[in-house]
This record gives sequence, C-alpha cells and structure tokens, in this order.
Amino acid sequence: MVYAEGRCLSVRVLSIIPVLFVASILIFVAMRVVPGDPVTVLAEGSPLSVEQRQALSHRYHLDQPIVTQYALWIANAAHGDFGLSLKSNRPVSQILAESLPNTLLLLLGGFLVSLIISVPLGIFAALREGRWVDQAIISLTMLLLSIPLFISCVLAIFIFAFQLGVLPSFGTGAEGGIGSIVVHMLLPWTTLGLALVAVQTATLRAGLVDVLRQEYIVMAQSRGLPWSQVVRRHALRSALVPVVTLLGLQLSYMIVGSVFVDYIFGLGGLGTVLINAVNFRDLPVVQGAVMVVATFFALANLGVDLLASRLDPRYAIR
Amino acid sequence: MAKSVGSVSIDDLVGLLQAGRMSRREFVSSGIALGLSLGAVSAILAACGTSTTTATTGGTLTTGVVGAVGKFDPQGWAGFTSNIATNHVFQSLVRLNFDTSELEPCLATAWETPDPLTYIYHLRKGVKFHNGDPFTADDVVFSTNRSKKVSWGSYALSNLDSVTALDPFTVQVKLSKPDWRFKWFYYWPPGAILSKKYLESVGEDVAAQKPVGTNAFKLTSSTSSQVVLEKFADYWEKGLPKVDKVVLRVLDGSTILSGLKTGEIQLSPDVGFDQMTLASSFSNVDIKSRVGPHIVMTYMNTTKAPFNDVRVRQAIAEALDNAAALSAYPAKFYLPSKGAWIHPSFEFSAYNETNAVYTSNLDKAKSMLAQSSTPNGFSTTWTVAATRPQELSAVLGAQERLGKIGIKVDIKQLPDPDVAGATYTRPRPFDMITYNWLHNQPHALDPMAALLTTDALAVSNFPGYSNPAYDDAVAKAIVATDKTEITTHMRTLQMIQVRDVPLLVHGWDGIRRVAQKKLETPVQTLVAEYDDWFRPARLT
Repeated sequence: MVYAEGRCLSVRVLSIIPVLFVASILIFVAMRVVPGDPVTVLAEGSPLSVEQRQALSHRYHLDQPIVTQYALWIANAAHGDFGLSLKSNRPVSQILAESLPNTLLLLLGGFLVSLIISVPLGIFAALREGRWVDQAIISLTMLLLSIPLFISCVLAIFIFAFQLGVLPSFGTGAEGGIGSIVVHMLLPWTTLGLALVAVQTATLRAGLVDVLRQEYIVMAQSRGLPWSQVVRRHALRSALVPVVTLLGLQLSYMIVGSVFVDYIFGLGGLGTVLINAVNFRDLPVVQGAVMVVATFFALANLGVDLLASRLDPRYAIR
Repeated sequence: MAKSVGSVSIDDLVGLLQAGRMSRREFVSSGIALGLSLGAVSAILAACGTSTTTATTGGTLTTGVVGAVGKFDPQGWAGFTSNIATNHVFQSLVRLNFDTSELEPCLATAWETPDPLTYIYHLRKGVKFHNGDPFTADDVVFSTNRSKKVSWGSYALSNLDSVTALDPFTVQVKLSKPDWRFKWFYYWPPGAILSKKYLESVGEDVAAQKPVGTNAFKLTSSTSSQVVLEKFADYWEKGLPKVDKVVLRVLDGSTILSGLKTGEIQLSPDVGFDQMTLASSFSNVDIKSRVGPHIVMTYMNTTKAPFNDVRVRQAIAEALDNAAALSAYPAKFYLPSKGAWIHPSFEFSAYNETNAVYTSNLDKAKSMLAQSSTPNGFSTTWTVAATRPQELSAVLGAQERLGKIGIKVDIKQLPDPDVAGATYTRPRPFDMITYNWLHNQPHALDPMAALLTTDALAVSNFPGYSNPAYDDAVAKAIVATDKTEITTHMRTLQMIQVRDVPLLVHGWDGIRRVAQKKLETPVQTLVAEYDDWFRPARLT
C-alpha cells in the first residue's frame, strides 16, 4: 500500500517535467513572436553602428535560427543556467535568486492575512446562515473581489502613505529588522490578502453549511457535545478540504496578483523583475522568471493535492 | 511602566516625535518593534498631533527611477538608470560647470591647444580610482582608444589620429583634421576615464558589473531593483561628497510620486511628464527643468513616396500647430517649435530665423499640398511611443490638423523600445515616426551632424535624408576655425533643414529633476543628462 502510494507520488512528480517542457516552448516562442527587437534592448536607442549591433546580436546568439536558440537555452536551463540578462549582463539565475525571497515573503504574508480574515468570516457567516450578518459578510467580500488589485494597491498607498503618512509606500524594509519588515509589508500583504478573502470565505462558508447539515453532525450534537466542539472538531475539518483544494486555483491568482503588488510597492521581487524585463525585451530574464513561476505553480499544486489527501482520504493521490 | 527595547522606551520615542527628531513613519516602525499595536501607535500619533517631519541628518538619499538597471560601462550605453550611476562613479578630464555650463578642469588641471590639430592635457596628481589604483596618463590613453573602438560616442572621435602619454601626467591628442567639437569629448560618458590596470586584470564583463572610477561615489551593490552608491573616502575634491550614500530604487511612476510627497524619496529624474502638474503642487518638493537639450521630433521616411517629395513635407510642416497641440504643458517644462530645430540656449542656434518660416496656416498648407505629387492628399501611418504623453499630444494635434488638408493619419502606438528599434531598422519600417534626440554636447552641430548626413544613413540618419549641400556644410563647419565662418555654416545647415524638412520639430521637453526642498542640488548644466548632481548635493 505504502509502496503504491510512493509510486503514485513519483509519477505525479515526474509528470511535472513534460508540463515544464511545454511551458518552456510556449514562453520561448511567445517572446519571439511579440513585436520588438531584442538588439534594441542592448542598444537602447544609442547610435550604434550596424557592425556594433551585429556583434551584440552574435554575442547573445540572436542571429541564430529560433530552434538553435531554443536548444541552446533549454540545454543550459536544465542545469539551472538561464543565460545572461541582455540588459545588465548578469546571470539570470542570480537575478532570480535575489528576487525570489521577496516574492515568497509577499505570497506567504498575503496568504496568511487572507486566512486570518477569511476563516473567522466564513465560520461566522455559516453559523448565521441566511441572516443579515451572513448577507453582509458575503456582500463585503464580493465588493473586495470586484476591486482590481492595481486599484487597491494605489488606493492603499494613497490613503495610508500619501494622505495619513503612517505607513511606507514602498520597499520591504529588510534593512531595518523584523519590525521594519512588518510595517513595510503591511499594505502589500493586506492588499494581496484581501483579494483572496472573498473566494476563501465563500468556499468555507458553503462547505461548513453543507457539513453542518450532515447526519453525523446532528448525531454528535444529540450526544450532548458542546456546539463549539462539534464545529471545531468535526465540521471544520471536513469544510476545510474544499478550501485547501481551492488553494491550487488561488495560487495562480496570487502569483499573478503578486506581480502587480510587488511592482507597485517596489518590493524587488519576481514581479518587478518580470515587468521590467518585459518592458525592455530582456528575453532571458522573462524566460527564466516564467519558468520559475511555472515550476513553483506545479510544485504548489502537488503540495495542495498532498495536503488535501491528508485531510480527507477520498482525495488520496492515485 | 513604559515598554522598552534595549535602552529605548516608548517615552523616548514620543519625546523624539514631539521634538521633531523622528518622522511619523519612523515612529510607527519603532513603535511596532517595541510591541505596540498599530492602533496604539495611531492613537499616540493623534495625541501628539505632530505634522510630518523628516529627519534632516543622516546622509542616505533615495532616488526613484523607473528604468531597469543595466551594465555600468559609461562608454557602452546601458540606459538612463545605469547612466545616473556611472555619472557619479566616473569622471573625465573636464566637466561642465554647474552654473555657467562652461568647461572646467576635472581630472585635467589645465589644457592647451597649440594648433587646431593638437590638444595637450595636464593631469591632476594624487587622484585615485575606487580600488586604490593611481590615475595616470596611461588610463587616459587606454580609455580614449577603447572609446573609439566600443563606445556609442565613437563618432565624436572620427577625426582622432593619436593619443599619447608624454609623461605620467601629460597627454597629447592629435587630430587628423581640425575639429572644434573635440574639446567637449572629455566631458561626457564616452570620454570617461577607466582604470587600464583594473580592466585588464578583471576583464570587460566584471568591470561592467563592478565599476571602478574616480568620482565621488563608488558603486557598492546592484540588483534588479536597486543600485547603492557610497561616498568615496579618498575622493580628490576635499569635503565632497556631502552625503554618505545614494540608493537608486527602481519603482513604478506613481509610487515615485507618492514617495516624493511622503519624503521617502529625496529626488527623482523620472517623474512622468503628465505627472508634473501634480508634482508641482507638492509643497515639499522643488522642480528643476532644463528645456533645450531634449528635442521632440518626427522623422519622415524620405526614401519612399509621398515623403520623398519635399513639397509634401513642407505642406505638413506648414499645417502643424505645435503650440496648440502642446498647450496643456506649462512653459517651464515644454517649449513648442514652429520649425526651429536648435533651442536658442545652444551656441550657433538660428532659432529666430528658422522659427519664422512656417506659420501654421491651414489654407496655405492645403495650397502647398495641391502643388505636390499628391494634390488630393493621402493616408499614412504615424508611429509614436505610447508611454510619452508629450510626444503623443504632438501627434494627436498633428493628426487633427493634417486631416483638414486631406492627409489621413493612422496613429500607431508602440512601447518605447520598439519605437527606438524602428528608427534604427533598415530598410525603414515607418512612414512617420516620433522620437526624441538628446544633445550629447553643448553645441548646435551635435544633432545636425548625427541626424541628417549621408555618412549616418546606416546609423542615426532616421529620415534617410541625403543632400550633398548639407553634407558639405557639415564638413566645412567641423573644420572651420573662425567663429564667424562656423556661424555661417551652422545657419546654412539649419536653413536647409527647415526648408527640406526631413524631420518635423515639435519642440523641446524639459529634462526634469524633482527633489525635496531640503535637498540642495546644483543647477542643471546645458546638457543636463550627464550631470553628477549628487557630488555637491547636501541636505539642509
């Protein structure tokens, strides 16, 4: 049994490889078909001669056929070498390694904030199903969902930094210790977290409402168990399974959302790197960053599946 | 009893806040570090009733920039963000005086020109590079030869014959023919002095990541999101720089604006043109703007019909009304042109004469077009950068005016790098394309030699214009030694341009620098783009 589970897990892990391979082809081709000349990135409007431009093109293999360019790139990428940035000439892997911690800080903090808000709200709404409190919570979370992230980021900066002057408008504050990090990250975490609250609250509420109607819950209550214990021990565990499985989907939203939040709050994470690289047609950096995101996404989905199978054996990996 | 961490208590923080020695933001950060809730901190702030006060001591300046961080080779163009860094890391034999824009000694203490073909520079002794290497004549010889080979400004060395070290602190430059423009070569980035010993020992790639220069700041770290410059303790100008550290932060434009308002950002050269009015309303910032060196132009592809017909081009020039199209921008940040190419602040500008040729008369433009190869008008595509509001405004205004004389314009908006790329692509993939040009040297010939000569057709002659009379006037202007003669040739060039109009001049947008009022920065020089403003900058 254990052997079978291990084998299934290995197959799932290995299945990530073709996913990443297809992703690598898609991103490579996409970056070549969009308008714009990467040599221009290197020249950046400076009056280089034709010979100087050709030399730059040759140095970065941009004069090779696209298939050769891909083969060179994927062979090196397999060893963790994503090439050199066209813009800064620094190794892409180094650029990504510098930015990844800030992205993880944002994602984890944002997710934590979303849980801190959505779990109590979801439980509260479910326990008062159909009452005005329930309706108010659902309406509020839907309102949060309807505000685009780039608007909420700018609004947050405008209110708390620009007008009130009580919170910083950019940076992680890493140079000032933990207190400084918390203060600097409060707005980014909250804006990212609030964007996730609606779906999490609604899912938890729906799951809990459903579970609370199950016979075993009624049975547990009729045996004289306190209501709070019934909810905490029996209902919540089952109701959390859809929330966990939903995480896989939410992760993609979080990652996309984190790009905006990162850029607007100047956190120096993958979002800043990616947006600058796209703006300046820095192909190796875009490719490397997207591959990191794709890998992260695939691994995170696997992790979510594992977690769901732990919470409910019906979701076991097969 | 008040909470405390180490020797600091909340009472201390409140005292600092009330005394104006701590900002509200610093108070929040420190308060939370001491374990206070945000609500408690807010309550204390409200009780204290202090206004936003920023500490005036410290010495770290944060600069907001929007461009990505590139390499740090001053001779190899790596974008405006990296240029800001290299402007403060490197320097050369001469520089522009902040107040007069005249050349003044820098790494050379004096220079002489015994004949029009010879320049002799006497170098400053005791200057060190950031790695401790001494600065000598060998570095000047090495840097000049390297620039001729790899630099984006190598065109300025087209008449260089040789550069020789006469002794460790004297350099002689020989030109193959007279070229009065050469005296400015050692002030701009392509003329920057690099350490020969350092480059030869670490190689080009490492040197471009870890640059070593002689200027007041050394680069200590760089990532994709920030560049850190620190005071160079052995800098040769005693007492400079005043600030200890400069951090260039890559940020979104709106975040920069917010940071300037809150005081988190002390300076930015990258506040968007469309944000200047808002920035002007901030009571805590001061805006410097140098209008002149940055020209907004549209290049017409003269290699194809109908733009190969000078009458068509003249009709278009007559129809434009740049003053109306750009009326939304304050004069402090924009000067519209009626046809003049060179801003009056530059030597040899024929501004008044060339600005009187066209009158923005639609009837006249229509009648000029009627005499051309396309008397009934035509349809065309006009390419412009989507991210430059001032350029887009000029094109939108032109579109409306040209529609009235029978020229239907389809505007194609592209990202900035793609517009730049299109200008350099051959054959030219555009009908009309709007892009700017920055005076690299403080004289009128800089754009005139670069943009319209036959020699530059493959490089920076974007319109594809070729005129032997123009080439002849450029060649004569370069070798002329008499100022009256130079003035005559310069006037000829500007009159040819305004009559042949291979390019339309919309105006000059200001090179901006928005800074906190408490930060004293020098006046912008005539060219402004290559100023090392942090060298003398200080907090008051």
